[in-house]
Amino acid sequence: MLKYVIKRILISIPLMIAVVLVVFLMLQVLPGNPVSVMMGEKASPDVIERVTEQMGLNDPVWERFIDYLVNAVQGDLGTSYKLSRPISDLIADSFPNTVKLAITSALVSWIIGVFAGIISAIKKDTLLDRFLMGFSLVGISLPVFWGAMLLQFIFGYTLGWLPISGYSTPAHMILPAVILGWTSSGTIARLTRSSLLGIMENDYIRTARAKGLDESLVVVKHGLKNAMIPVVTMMAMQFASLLSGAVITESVFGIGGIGVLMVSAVNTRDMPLLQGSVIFSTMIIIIGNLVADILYSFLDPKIREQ
Amino acid sequence: MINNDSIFEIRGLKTQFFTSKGVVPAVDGVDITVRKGEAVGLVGESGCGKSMTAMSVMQLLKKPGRVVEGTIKLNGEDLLKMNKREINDIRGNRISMIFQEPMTALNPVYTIGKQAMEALMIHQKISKEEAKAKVIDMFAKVGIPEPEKRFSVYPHQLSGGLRQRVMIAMAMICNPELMIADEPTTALDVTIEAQILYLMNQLQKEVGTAVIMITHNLGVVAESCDYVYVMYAGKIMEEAPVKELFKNPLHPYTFGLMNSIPKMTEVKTHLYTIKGMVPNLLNLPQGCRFCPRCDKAMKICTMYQPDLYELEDGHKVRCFLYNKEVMESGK
Ligand SMILES: Nc1ncnc2c1ncn2[C@@H]1O[C@H](COP(=O)(O)OP(=O)(O)OP(=O)(O)O)[C@@H](O)[C@H]1O
Ligand code: SF4
Ligand SMILES: [Mg+2]
Repeated sequence: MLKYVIKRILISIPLMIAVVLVVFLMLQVLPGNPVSVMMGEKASPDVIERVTEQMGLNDPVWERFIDYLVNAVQGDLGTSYKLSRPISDLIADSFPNTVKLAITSALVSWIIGVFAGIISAIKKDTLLDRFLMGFSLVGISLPVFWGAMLLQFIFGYTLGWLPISGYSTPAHMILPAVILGWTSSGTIARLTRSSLLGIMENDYIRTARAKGLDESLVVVKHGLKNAMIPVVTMMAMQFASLLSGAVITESVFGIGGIGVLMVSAVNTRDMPLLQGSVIFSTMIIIIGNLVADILYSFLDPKIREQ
Repeated sequence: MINNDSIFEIRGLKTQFFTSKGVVPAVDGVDITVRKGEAVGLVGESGCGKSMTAMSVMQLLKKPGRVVEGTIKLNGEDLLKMNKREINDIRGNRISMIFQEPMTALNPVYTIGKQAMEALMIHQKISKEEAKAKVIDMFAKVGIPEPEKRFSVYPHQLSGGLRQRVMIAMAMICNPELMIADEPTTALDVTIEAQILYLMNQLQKEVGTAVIMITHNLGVVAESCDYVYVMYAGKIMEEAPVKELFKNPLHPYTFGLMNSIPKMTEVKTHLYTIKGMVPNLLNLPQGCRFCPRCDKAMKICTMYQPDLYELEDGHKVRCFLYNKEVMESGK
């Protein structure tokens, strides 16, 4: 098990470096001199040339990449052109909001998703099953911004129960968590249902019934644990993707998270900030997948023992 | 049965599958009697309804299958009239079952010890420690080497033979009155098959559990049973004490089965050599179900279904050859 974990971690290191390289190169080929963007239109060409030289932007690409990588490993992702603050500070400021949003919406998603999936599987082909699966399909296909605005309109504007924008109190967290959780719950519900239905066809389920176990115990003890193996993996990946920033939800509800940080970097052509935040988000996803893999092996004794 | 020590009686059992193509009469009026501590064989070709008979008893039939008629009595109580709770009190406790495929019958995410303890924990009020001790005892009894160590091993770490021993241990753990074994050795190789059959015989004698041994191999019946039912296309064709059946087989189908017994020393390659095909249950012949494959078939066989005729010594056979009136009238 430990060997497996170490192996998986070692495999993800080259992947991370490759990701940094790709993001780095992608932003190199974008047209426009970042210095002129940073200094505004009125700066003279002389000044721009001098600053470019000073910042080392005339060095060969590979040299700058190595520098960037070495600094990044030490937590230094450079300085934002527009905000003149270290990018790592900007990320550290916005990440807690993204984490809060990710945790609350993941909880909503998992609770709704797993319960709906189990009930649907047990009541397969009944009206309840169709209703739940329809509900989750709506969740999957619902555009987040539209659903978010609908909730804002109903619970914020019309009923006045909940705040519409900002992220300072727990009440602020409810609407974003509900909409983001609902739209993510559909995938979990459908996966839980199909996984559980598949598992319930297994011979060992028949063995469990033949022992005299109550049907609900058969489902929960013998079905669910096996059925959750792919679901937990999906949950970990979903959580990682939530942690990497929910651009639309953050924007609609005015939550200062990683997603909003990335959008503002794009809008202001703040290349180092964009680069830093994209790389940060991607790292979160890679780590999330790593955790998903390790969880998977932990749940499945066959892999665990290797 | 007149015999008073019968503990388990199936009477007129009909199990059908309601499919889009029609009603499949998988079990069609079956009577089976099991006496205390007796080993009863249920033998027949693939698809004749052996497993569905067992599943009807355990009430593990899957949709669209359903018992439509009959009674299944354990010590006089009809299982078919019981509610789910009462059935669960019987399953794994008073009647247990072993399945054909040991590789998939155990849950991969729990240790075998935990799975074996489960039946004990639900049916008997004992502590975890007592249950564990009992399971380790039982593992030793069924010949699992190093039972304490094996207790916390996962199914995939065991061979097929060992897993079937685990299944037997699980089935015997509550000292059931009846154990149904559905082809418990078919998936195993011949030497292991012999060991497992021997083990089951030993346990059965020791504990006094009655067994219904389901198999398509008369050799297994000869080895391990006292009484045998021969089943074909949902019906019992012949029944007799094992010795009597082997000494004096009556039904043409039984002859066919006897000729195709694989020798215990041979590698199982093919199983049956009775000419013709197993009948399609959706489109059964009007007369005797074995008629299209029977080399002794007479005219009457194509028109009427024979009853189960009782001869001397309790030997019963479903064939017009043994009906005096039919034979004397010369049809
Ligand atoms: N789900 C189903 N739908 C329709 N018919 C079914 C279904 N399951 C079983 N049957 C019918 O029940 C019949 C008896 O099946 P059963 O499994 O009892 O046979 P068996 O004697 O145990 O054979 P085997 O030796 O292959 O295990 C089959 O021939 C089949 O026609
Ligand atoms: S009743 Fe006729 S067809 Fe059927 S087994 Fe006997 S002889 Fe053959
Ligand atoms: Mg079968």
